Amino acid sequence: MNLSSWQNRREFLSRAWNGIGAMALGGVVIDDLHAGIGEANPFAAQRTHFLRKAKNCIFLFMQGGVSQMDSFEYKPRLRELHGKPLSHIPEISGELQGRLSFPHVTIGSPFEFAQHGQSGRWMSDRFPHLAGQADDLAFIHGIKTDNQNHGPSTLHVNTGSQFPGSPSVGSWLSYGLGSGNRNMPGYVVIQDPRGAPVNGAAIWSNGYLPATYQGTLLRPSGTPILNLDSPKGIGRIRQRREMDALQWLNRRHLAKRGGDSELEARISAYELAFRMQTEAPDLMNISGEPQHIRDLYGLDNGTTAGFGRQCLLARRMVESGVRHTLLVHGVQITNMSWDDHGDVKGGMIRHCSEVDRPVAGLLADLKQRGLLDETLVVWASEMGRTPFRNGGMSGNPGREHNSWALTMWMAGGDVKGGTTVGATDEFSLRGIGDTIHVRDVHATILDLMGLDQEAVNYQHAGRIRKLTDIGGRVLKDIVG
Amino acid sequence: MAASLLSGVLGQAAQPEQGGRWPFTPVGRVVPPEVTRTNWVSNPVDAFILSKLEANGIAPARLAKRRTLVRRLYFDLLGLPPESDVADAFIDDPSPLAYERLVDRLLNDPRYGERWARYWLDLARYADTAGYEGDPDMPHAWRYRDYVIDSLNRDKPYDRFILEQIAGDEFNEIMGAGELPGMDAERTVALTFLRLAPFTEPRGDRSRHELLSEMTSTVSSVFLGLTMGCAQCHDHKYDAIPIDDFYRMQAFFSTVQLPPPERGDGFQIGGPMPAGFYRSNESSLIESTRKTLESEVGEAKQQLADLTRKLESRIGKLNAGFGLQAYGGGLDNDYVFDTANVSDSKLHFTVATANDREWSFFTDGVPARELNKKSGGNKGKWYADIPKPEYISIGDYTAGTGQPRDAGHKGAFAEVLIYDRPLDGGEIAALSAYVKTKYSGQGSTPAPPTDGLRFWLDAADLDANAETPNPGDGSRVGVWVDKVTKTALGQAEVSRQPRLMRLGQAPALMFEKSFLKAGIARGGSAKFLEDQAGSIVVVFSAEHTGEGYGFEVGGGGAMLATFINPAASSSHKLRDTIYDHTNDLFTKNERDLFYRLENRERFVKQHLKRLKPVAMSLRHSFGPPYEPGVPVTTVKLRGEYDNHGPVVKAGFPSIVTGHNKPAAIRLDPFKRWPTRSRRMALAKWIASRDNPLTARVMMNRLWYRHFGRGIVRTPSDFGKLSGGATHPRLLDWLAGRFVDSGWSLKAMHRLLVTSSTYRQSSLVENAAAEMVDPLNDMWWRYEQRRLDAEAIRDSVLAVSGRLNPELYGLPIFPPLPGDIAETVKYSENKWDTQLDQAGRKRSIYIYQQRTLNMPFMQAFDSTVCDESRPRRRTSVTPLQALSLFNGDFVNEEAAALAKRIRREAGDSVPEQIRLAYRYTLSRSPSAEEASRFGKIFAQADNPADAINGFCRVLFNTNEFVYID
Repeated sequence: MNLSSWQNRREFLSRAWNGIGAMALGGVVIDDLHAGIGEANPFAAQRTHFLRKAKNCIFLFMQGGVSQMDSFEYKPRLRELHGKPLSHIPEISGELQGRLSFPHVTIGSPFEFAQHGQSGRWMSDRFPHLAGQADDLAFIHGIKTDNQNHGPSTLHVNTGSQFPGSPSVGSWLSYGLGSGNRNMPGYVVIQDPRGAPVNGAAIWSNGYLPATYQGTLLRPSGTPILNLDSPKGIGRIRQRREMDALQWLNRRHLAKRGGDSELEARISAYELAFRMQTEAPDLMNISGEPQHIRDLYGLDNGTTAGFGRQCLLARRMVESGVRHTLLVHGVQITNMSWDDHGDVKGGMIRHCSEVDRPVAGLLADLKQRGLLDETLVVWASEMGRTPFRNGGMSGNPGREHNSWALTMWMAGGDVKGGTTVGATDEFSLRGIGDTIHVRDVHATILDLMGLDQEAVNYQHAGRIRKLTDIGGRVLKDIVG
Repeated sequence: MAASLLSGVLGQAAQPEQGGRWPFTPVGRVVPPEVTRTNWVSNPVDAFILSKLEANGIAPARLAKRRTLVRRLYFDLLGLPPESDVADAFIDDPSPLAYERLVDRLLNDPRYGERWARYWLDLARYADTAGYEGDPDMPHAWRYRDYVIDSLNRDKPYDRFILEQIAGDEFNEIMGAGELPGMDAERTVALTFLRLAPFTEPRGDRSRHELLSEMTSTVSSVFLGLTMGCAQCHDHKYDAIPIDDFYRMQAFFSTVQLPPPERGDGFQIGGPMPAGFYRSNESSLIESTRKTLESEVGEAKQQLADLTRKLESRIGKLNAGFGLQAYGGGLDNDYVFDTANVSDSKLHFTVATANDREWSFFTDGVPARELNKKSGGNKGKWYADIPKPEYISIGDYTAGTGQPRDAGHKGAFAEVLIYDRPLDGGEIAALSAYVKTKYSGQGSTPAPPTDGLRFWLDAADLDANAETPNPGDGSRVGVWVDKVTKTALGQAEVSRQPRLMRLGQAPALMFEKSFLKAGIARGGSAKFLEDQAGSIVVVFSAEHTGEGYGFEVGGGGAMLATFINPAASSSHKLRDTIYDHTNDLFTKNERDLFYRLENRERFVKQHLKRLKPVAMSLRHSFGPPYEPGVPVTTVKLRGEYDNHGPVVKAGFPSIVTGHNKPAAIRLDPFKRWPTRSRRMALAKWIASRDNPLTARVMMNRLWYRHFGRGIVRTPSDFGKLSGGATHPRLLDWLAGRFVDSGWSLKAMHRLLVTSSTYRQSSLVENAAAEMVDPLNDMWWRYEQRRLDAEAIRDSVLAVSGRLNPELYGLPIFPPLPGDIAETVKYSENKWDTQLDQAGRKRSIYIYQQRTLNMPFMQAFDSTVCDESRPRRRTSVTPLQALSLFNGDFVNEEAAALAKRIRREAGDSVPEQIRLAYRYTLSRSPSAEEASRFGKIFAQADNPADAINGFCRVLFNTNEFVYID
């Protein structure tokens, strides 16, 4: 308990709420005030630990496991070995063993690779638009995740733990940084319009952090936030009248209770909710965007319109000060995800064509508005894929899960563009050199957001918990 | 002050060597301290509280008024507002024992169990699904929820409650060289506690390590307030719990045996065990539920057919022909690749890919076309490539899991051809011609064949002699080799032997009806066979009632394709059309009704499964020679399942015992069952009066729920990070009293709520106290609290008069806002939305789906548990305001309350206002309130709107959602 600095309950509470008008949509947490675990003012912008440019983060999560050797890791050796079993099969044990078909027939990438930008970055021809921004991207290869299956590994990349119940990256960032705006949630999620990712809401869960820090799922149609509309048949005048009646009753109730701040907070929450009814929908209304912006994100093309809208909304979130925006591309483990067990060629052609233009558009748009400097953009997936084919010997080959060779990239903020950290062996089966673990990536994200991974912590179940668990290594090579 | 409290401790037992610090010291006998203001002391609880207050010069608050107390007590013990007549009777009761009588009445009310079980379910990380990929249903988890409610209502002694949940299978002593006793149903259900963690996709040793470790952590934190889980990878950073102790504790669970998953349930980590319905009347309730459900299916089908006809006429188009749905299925993996279905009046085929098997299904003669948009790059290949099937069989399967369906099928199903190789041009033409002739002149809807389902195999190397006598049931036909591919084909399951028979000039195989589930096949003869020169031609025609059939290829339960019947396919088509055209062609109500009916059969089947007399339980391994014996337990270095450290033996945590000797495990006299009694040894140690933690931890949980904050702030962590106890002697006294009462929770509830401490006013009227103790750590007043999510929802329903008071039973599925369920669904939506009163039971019955938190509940800090949740946070957010003020739930119930009030009060506005206050807030309006709302009502254009709005406002007031 660190209450000694507070004069009394009233002052404690009122300072905690800092004149309740500052309350963001996230709201306030009551019993943590009692618990006194160092978060007296959960919504106020917090001071960062280091000076970093990024204020906001956009996390692009590609559900299913992006094939690294068909996208961003050039492995010419696989072409040479195409169709052949590897003469020397690296030791494969554990779960992957059980997943692979025998013999381990290697498949080369069906795509052409070329070098791009000043940095000479190798990229597959599936990313013609993103290639134009190669010098802004910093790649991390050979990331190890803890689990070979979608459920746990999706959780691992999004929450730092392969088990459900831990806070997601966005929750930690809003907890550590506070909210940057008043009328929108500090952490929003825009999922693939075709459906939800594996684990559903668990990947944007607040876990053991207070509910204030959960991701708010923006709805694909209608009002962006649930219940933002007045009930059917209730017009604005009646809504206001009934709100007035309610607040009159609440103030009378409050008066008898000597100005209890928790009750006051609830009164303010209703006022804010009422204001949001008109303000929040504007943020989601993209009809005013000019044609060149629509083109930039591919909004008028059936293939790119879905993720294009997600990316455009992400930019608008950044503009309005939303701290963390999670975009999910891909639906569970259907063929609408990157889980290309069969026909990795056909799959990659489809997935890449859906995201390449929108992602490139997002980076370009952020840049032209001067927002890329203050926005960290992260490209992630839950696993990489194997150099070996999946299944039998005929037809178009696919690739199996590979938890040893995930590729991610970052851009914006203090990310040093055009750099690479980590590598995999010549087959892209396993990372080589110092193992890069998911927690190292998380440590790097926190660092790029100006947060010390040790200092952003929370006491839960007998431990001081943090995103990086036992602590991650900041990947200095890609941090400017 | 501290000295005076400590001086009351008598008979301190010898301190353990290591654990010499509270709370590891024996509870001992604690004498309540002396206080000055003795008339304030209702029972010893007050002495402890008052002693500290007096030492700090703080006077306790005055006692709350009866009107406040009756609400406080109802919400606290039952989670519901008081019935108005009960509240009035209590307020007017002149007896000095009126309060105590009310307490007894509420503790004997079965709604008490519904309220308090929720807290235990939070601890037990209760959910109805397994989480992760697919979030599979755990159909029998609900029985544990009922077990907890029932146990609390019967005031089951807490020590017994512990034993049942940790070692329910090891109760009976085994005499001599006796056999294992049968398992008691109730205790079988109790063991569900150990299985509630999220787990899917079993992965051998690793999963087992995770499972046992989870049990270890959860048992430790729930029953002992020890965060053993922190020592899974390394020594505990704050408490004296070395990593060895974690694995010594884990060793008690080492002989746990989970029943195997049910067939087709490969994602589940285990299956159910027999456990009959044991509460009185439970069986008959279950039986009547079953009958209701069964009749419901029939009605729903009829309604769907009627609705479908009605709606289809509106789109002016009949969906004819075949639907077809193909799934990738695993011979060695289980992924669904394509759920595309193609169904219109022209073309009926699709292609699925799984493990390089590419299929095309012909249902008419139109040439194949490019399909890669739907199926991921099949490039229009339209032949089937079956490398090495062991057999081809046909059955009906549930999508995604390979689980056989067993309900009836209906509707017309014509013919499907499957080839095992590319067809040449001539063959295509022949088939095309065949199919065309088949349907020419029949309009767009093929006539349903009248005969039953037949499954034909024809391959040249088959024993093609049509005169071969049909084998008898159970005899083996043999293996047939396709002469083109040299593929061996055989019917692997003897009970599913097809028969040879003649069809026209060619031999053919017929599968018996018994091959299929009852109700699928209905008599008849084969329709079509051509000798396709070595190809396997599968032709079947059927009359069936379900959505489709699955083909199983290659054995091992792997499913590759499901065929959809025309009725289902048209409904699938209609489903999309409805989705696209809601508001122009169809109303929202029609859409919702259609979706609901469409899913009805699937949902009801799942409900029927839930009614089976089984539980999600476990038992000890039988040991050699039947099952594994007692394994060697090692410390797992860094918590890694395959990184073995020193060997350890089962033992209790040294932080409590002061030593790390192995625990004595009492086996049966002949040591015939060495795997037995391990968990019982642990459970008995926990549930012992000598265990310093068990009673303290539970009493702290009780205190926390009654007073809003624990004596130890972190109820599942009594270690160093807890910050210690505000009133350790009080907690000790409570613990001692608890054990002396025979571990009776109700006795302790009674004691706490009849204390003066509990009956204090919550108002802040003592400025001095406010200065000294602003956070009310010393309990100088009652702490005002917001209702939790469950109590808010239940109270709204209770007040509107629409709460369904039915106790116990299947999970409920209240309506969800918008398309939430749709956005989180996996292959199939699990949420069987109930718009009627079935969905208006209390919140404890809400289906706990790990990937879907009900937004209303989530907004008010409730959560579907993934791990044990010792306490809830209380947040205040605009999202709460939005859901309570604008959401459908409250607005519908406000309308119901308004209706109730108009019915009871007639047109009298003052009476309407009076009743609305009485029901929602248990009081009368003040003169000012009555006059203000009277005026508003008088000015309203529409009186109905005015009263609806008024009820809505009252549900939103702070007075409604906060307990004074």
